Amino acid sequence: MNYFRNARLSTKLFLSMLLVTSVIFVTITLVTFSIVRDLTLNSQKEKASLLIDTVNPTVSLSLFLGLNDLGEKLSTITHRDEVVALQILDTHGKILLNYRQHSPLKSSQMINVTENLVEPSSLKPIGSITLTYSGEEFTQTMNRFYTLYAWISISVFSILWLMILWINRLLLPITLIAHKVRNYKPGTKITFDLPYTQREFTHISHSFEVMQESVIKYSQEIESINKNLEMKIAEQTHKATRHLYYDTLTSLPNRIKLQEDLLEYPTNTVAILNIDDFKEINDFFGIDAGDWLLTQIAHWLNEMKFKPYRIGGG
Amino acid sequence: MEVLMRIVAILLITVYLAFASDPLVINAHVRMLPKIMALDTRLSSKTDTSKKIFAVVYDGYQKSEAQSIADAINKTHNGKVSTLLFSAISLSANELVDRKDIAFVYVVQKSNPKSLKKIAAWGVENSIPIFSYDVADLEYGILGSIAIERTSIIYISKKNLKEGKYHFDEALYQIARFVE
Repeated sequence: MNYFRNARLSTKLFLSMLLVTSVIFVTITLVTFSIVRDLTLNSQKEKASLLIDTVNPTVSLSLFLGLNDLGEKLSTITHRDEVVALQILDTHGKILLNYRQHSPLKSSQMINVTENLVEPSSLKPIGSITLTYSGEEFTQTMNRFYTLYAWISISVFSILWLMILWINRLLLPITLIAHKVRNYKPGTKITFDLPYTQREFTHISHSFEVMQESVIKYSQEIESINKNLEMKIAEQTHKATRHLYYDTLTSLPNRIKLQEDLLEYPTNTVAILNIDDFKEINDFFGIDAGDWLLTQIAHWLNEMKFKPYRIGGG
Repeated sequence: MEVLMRIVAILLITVYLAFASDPLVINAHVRMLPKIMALDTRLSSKTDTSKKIFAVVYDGYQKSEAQSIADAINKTHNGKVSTLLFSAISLSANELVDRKDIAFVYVVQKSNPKSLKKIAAWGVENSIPIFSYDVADLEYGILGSIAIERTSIIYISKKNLKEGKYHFDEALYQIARFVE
């Protein structure tokens, strides 16, 4: 059951068709078999009955009159190949005539028909006649029926086989679409080259193409947003770096930067310049004057092609 | 003398055999003729009595033989064939033509052709089936006879059957042998 549930659509379709066709085919076969068998059997029984009816009055009258030439009277039917055996019994079960000819058929392939023999005038039972009729024609008819149904079976299941091929071909676009969609990556464009045009599959491929365009559009928007974000991050990173490595007042590299540069270039010579009693300047001329002075000193040092750092201050 | 006596004896035996009835044939007639009478489909309309009369008809000095046949028939069938009640009696040809209650007639052996024609004419006129011992009698207008050949054969004269407007069970026509 799980296998059927998880099976491919083509398999499900095929199994469903196989099941339905088999049920219909078996039903029709059984009904037809029953009808043909009954009709053929009844036809054979009718023939046997007709044969008995042909001789019944003669045999009845011969028995009634006490004539002993029953064999001669029955020669009209006993010479027929279909008549395998003929037996006449009186009312006490005594065998009055027992005709039998060799037949290769089994007893199950023979048809027995029994009729009563009655007195012509009073219709009083005087015995019975049993005709064993060859069922060869019945067997031949049934064999022809089996052969016919064997060919019909082969035809039906050949058609079913062709149908599964057709279903597979019909559902091939779904497999192709599924395969392409499975390997889809944003940024790439896929095209659906369907082996044939079918409205449903065209709708599906069109829907996928519309979806693909939407994905591309959203991807582009996301990419643009990402670029802006990256620029802003870079800017903020730059700012943070300056704030970390540079003095905000003089824009000179700070002590952290000096330490890293010394680690990077250990052979350089470092001269330390200190302004004595700088606090007095701030106190006497104000902080702004102190800041201006520090800025000018930094400017001078830069102009003198030194590579100055500010290792003190805020 | 002895030779002469032998010749006389042979002649007497020959004469006796020529005129005597064959017991085998008589026996077959006794068994079958009442049954053939029962096959007459218009039997019930021919006589008013419920018990039918089977007449064994003789000519000349054959009364004893006719009576013995009638007795044999009564004894064999015990007055009944199927559901048909009957009685066999012996009658002379002259007695027969005056009777109105006869259902079936059997003429014994070696009857006079003149008598046979008379009986046959009476049978045709009254549609009463006439059977006789000898198949050769059919040429005098007798309806039928039963001969013993390889088996018992019922002979029926086609011409007399038509003339007498007899109606028997169809099966009888299938087993009977018709003569022109």
